[in-house]
Amino acid sequence: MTRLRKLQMNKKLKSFIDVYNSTVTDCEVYTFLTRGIELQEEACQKLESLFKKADNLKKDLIEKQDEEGANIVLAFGLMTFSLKSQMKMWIALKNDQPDKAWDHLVDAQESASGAIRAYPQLENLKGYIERLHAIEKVVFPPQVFSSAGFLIKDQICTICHKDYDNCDHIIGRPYMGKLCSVIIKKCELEEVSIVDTPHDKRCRITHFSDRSGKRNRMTWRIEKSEENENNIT
Amino acid sequence: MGVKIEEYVDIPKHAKKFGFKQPVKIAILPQNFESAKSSDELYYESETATVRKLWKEAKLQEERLEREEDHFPYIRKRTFEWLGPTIFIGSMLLANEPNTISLALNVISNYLTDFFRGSFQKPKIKFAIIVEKTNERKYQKINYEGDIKGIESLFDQIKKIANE
Repeated sequence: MTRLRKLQMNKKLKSFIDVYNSTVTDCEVYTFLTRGIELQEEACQKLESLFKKADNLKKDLIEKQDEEGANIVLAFGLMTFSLKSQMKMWIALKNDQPDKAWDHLVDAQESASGAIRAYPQLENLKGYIERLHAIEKVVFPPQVFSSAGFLIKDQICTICHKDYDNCDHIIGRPYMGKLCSVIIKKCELEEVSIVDTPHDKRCRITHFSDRSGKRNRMTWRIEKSEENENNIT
Repeated sequence: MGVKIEEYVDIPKHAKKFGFKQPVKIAILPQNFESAKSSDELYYESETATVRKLWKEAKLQEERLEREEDHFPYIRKRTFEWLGPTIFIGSMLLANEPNTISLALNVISNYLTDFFRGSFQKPKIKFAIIVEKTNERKYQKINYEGDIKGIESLFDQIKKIANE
């Protein structure tokens, strides 16, 4: 009975992978700046639906304690999220929201890397990851990144929610469909610095002041600050 | 790849100051072991807990210097580099169990290969190894800063320093 259940579960996984492949093939066509925005929005909805299917299948596999299957689906879920984020990046750029677009790009990069960690057989995605980095260099201006140094006094494992010092889980590894990380519960800020390669590319200088006012580093527009607005009569 | 070597403090003297056990074979020292004035000031590098778990998984026996109830904070910098622990290697280990040293380093490099597998950028790996010189109560520190592949070459550096 167990063997039959496992066979059925593998069939479910295989069937999901078929749906994943056909959805991704359809949607990849729209991962270019020139594609119609309404078509990209439609593709986002298809990917959102695929992501929900992945999530449901993963819950199923977790219930059956199929760790290998859950980790495979985690990887495909992350890739789906990465593709959707890339699509949202192009849409945000067309909607004149480059700061949002940058965050979507970083989401796309991080989730693609996470997919390979969850399922190393996806290493053929390196070409896709390289493309995301080429987009970063060509489409966006160079960023100024900041990085904070902390003294961490208490951190918990995201898998078992115990003190990370006292559990057996290891950061970066997948466990039953989830990548292990830590949540910092108690820390002291030690320093903040400007760095070339940050841990999180969302930590960047977004504005600076010059003679004209507060300038957005992405758009180069002068933006009204709250102070200036209060002073306008 | 960068390896810088410098003299290190008298470990037994500092261990006594902090109420620590004296390391003999393989241990992890707090990052500021040589400069802290009291045990209240001590902290470890952010990846110390992970390395301890990797070694435990590989059945490598680390000597914990601090007491079971002591809990020291970790220093974490949010840059794209892996800040590993300060590893102590005793001369007895090098003489009697050199394979343990290779295992300790290989376990770290295998983990890093997996961890950075999906990364576009090449990670910068930073950690230190304190080597006890054979037949002398003197210690030297190897500061390693480089890529994952360079970790393999550290075993030869350790042997060279121990036997100088």
